[in-house]
Amino acid sequence: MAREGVVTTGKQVALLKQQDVEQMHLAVLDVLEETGVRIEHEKALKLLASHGCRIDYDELRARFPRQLVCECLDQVPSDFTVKAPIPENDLIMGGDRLYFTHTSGMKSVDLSSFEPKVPTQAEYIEAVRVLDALDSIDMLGCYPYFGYEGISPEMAIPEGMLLHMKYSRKHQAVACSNDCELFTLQMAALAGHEVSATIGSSPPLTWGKDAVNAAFRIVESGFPISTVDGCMMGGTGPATPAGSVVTSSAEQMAMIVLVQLLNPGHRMLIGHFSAPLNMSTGSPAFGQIDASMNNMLFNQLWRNYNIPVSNGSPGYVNAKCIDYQAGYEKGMASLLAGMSGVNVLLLHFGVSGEITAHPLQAVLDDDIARMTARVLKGEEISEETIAVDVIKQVGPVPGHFLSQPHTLKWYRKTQCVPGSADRLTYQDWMQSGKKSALDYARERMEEILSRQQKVCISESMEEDLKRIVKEAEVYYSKRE
Amino acid sequence: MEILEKISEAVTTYQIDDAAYYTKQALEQQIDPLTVLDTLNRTIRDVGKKFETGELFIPELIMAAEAVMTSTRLLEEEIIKQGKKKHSLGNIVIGTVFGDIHDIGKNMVTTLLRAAGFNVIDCGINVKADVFIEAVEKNEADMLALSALLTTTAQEQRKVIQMLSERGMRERVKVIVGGGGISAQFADSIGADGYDATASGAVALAKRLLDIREDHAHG
Repeated sequence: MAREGVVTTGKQVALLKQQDVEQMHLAVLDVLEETGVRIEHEKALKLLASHGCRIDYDELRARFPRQLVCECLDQVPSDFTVKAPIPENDLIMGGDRLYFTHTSGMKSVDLSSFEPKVPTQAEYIEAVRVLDALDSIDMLGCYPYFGYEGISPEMAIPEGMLLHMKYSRKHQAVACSNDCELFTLQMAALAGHEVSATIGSSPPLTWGKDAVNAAFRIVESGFPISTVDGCMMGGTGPATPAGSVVTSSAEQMAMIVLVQLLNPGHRMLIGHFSAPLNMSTGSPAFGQIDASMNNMLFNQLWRNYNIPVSNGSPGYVNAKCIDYQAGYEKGMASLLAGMSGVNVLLLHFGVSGEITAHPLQAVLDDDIARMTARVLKGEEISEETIAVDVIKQVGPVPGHFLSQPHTLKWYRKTQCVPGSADRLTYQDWMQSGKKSALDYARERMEEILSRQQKVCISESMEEDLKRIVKEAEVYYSKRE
Repeated sequence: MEILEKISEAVTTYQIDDAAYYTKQALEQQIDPLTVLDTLNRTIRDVGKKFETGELFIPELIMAAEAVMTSTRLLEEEIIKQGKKKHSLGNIVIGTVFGDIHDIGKNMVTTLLRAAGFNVIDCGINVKADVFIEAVEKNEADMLALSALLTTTAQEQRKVIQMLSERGMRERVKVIVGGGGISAQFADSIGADGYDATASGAVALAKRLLDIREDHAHG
């Protein structure tokens, strides 16, 4: 009943030898035991202390015994189901299955100038509708845009979540920040939806008070937790992919210990989001190939723990326009993350870093997702696919395969035809307006938006949800 | 003087301990601490220029700045002891606002402002509004520079500016803002005096707002 996603049939790509993986694993345990992780939350520190962690309350630092870490890693479910508003959109996280989701942008973008612009609520809704309509997107991410015109930053998540619930029946992730989970988890529970509640570490080796507060609340709600690290290689982590994977993994394991102590067997998706630091500007150098290498090392290490993982960086690129650079940055990152065994891949929608995003880009990214899926699904080897009988029958020239029943049966299954690429003959291309991939994608986007707008919740449910959103507004206005 | 060359070389080869060692030696040799300070400032300015032209990158900039800061602290004690006064283009209080712990951008701006000749008081990260106000007052700051990476914490910049107004200090100090979550439009909307997206742009902005001409900038 759940979404099929992409099930990898072949071998996953491994950059490391098994002894290298073992060395990295030991390094993570060493960091956790000797350096420890700063956890800015007294209640959490006391809980960890009661299970044998060494706590420095002045520095808010917990040092973790190796055995405790390994025991908690074993308790995380290796695969689990997360519910969507409708059963056919449920997700089975883990194993060899990959799901795609989208990234976020602070703003939308003007497609002629590629300058950022604050989206209107209508544009926000259009984005949700396109993300919902694209079949290669299995779940909605935390937000398409960080809010829209006329709402305060604090209200971006609750207001956005309401729109996701109204216009999509896909499972959604929801970011927990600034106490917003007080309201968003309530909204999800009221509607009977499960959400992947997402918390982020503050690298290096730190979990802030907000995130730990949220972890307690999420565990209590029973919803799955999705973690995100965010180490920038050379800035908030070592410059080497191996070293930065070690610090990111130590942060992740510290949270795993806390969550599993609170509720053994709690469902967790471990989200990795790392990029090199651009040493000229201090910004994340999204899209560089080293970000992909980092994902590949992380995925290989975590496959050993048999815990579902996601990769955030493939959907974020350095390119500012929808151009050649954006294509290769996303294409290579998606394929390499997929081939190294990631379970959830953030790909669609982002135009430039975390700054801009647009549904047109999501339509283009749909092709990258489908190409990645085609490779991961692999090649069936059987007498029929090897086709020796057909080869013998056709023989050398003037024989050909076009008139073979084998061709008729198999070509549709084997060819992954992109939806937005130009595939015309040169002559036809010149005669039909010389369209580019962007033109084709725009047509597809406009077709999606011309469909009747569906509403996925009842009016009374919308009213109830709006009441919670209103409570959030009051909460934040009082806090100011 | 050979010892000054050694100090300069220690900075440009990012040897923090060596820079401190030769600075102490210079003081033992009774060299004027202001002369040593001038050498350090000239060296870090060259490093800053190479950073701006893309010859050097952030790690080199930060390491050279650390070497200069370590040596400067040694010199400051001696300058005070001798009753001398170091030249500065002005006092700038800087920090990342409350709720935000990102400091890479803020550190780059700090380094380049110091390299340009400003006296920079770095309040660090996760700084509450009243701490900024106290620092501005205590250091008679000419400028306050506020950093925020997140859109949620960007609102804290507004709060600091409002608090400056409430305390009747807004006219006395220029306020510049920056960070990943900030735009020129946002800076205008919260009543900041200026915004720039880059660290070197922030230095040019500070000079413009404080009316410092390039020929005066290098003391």
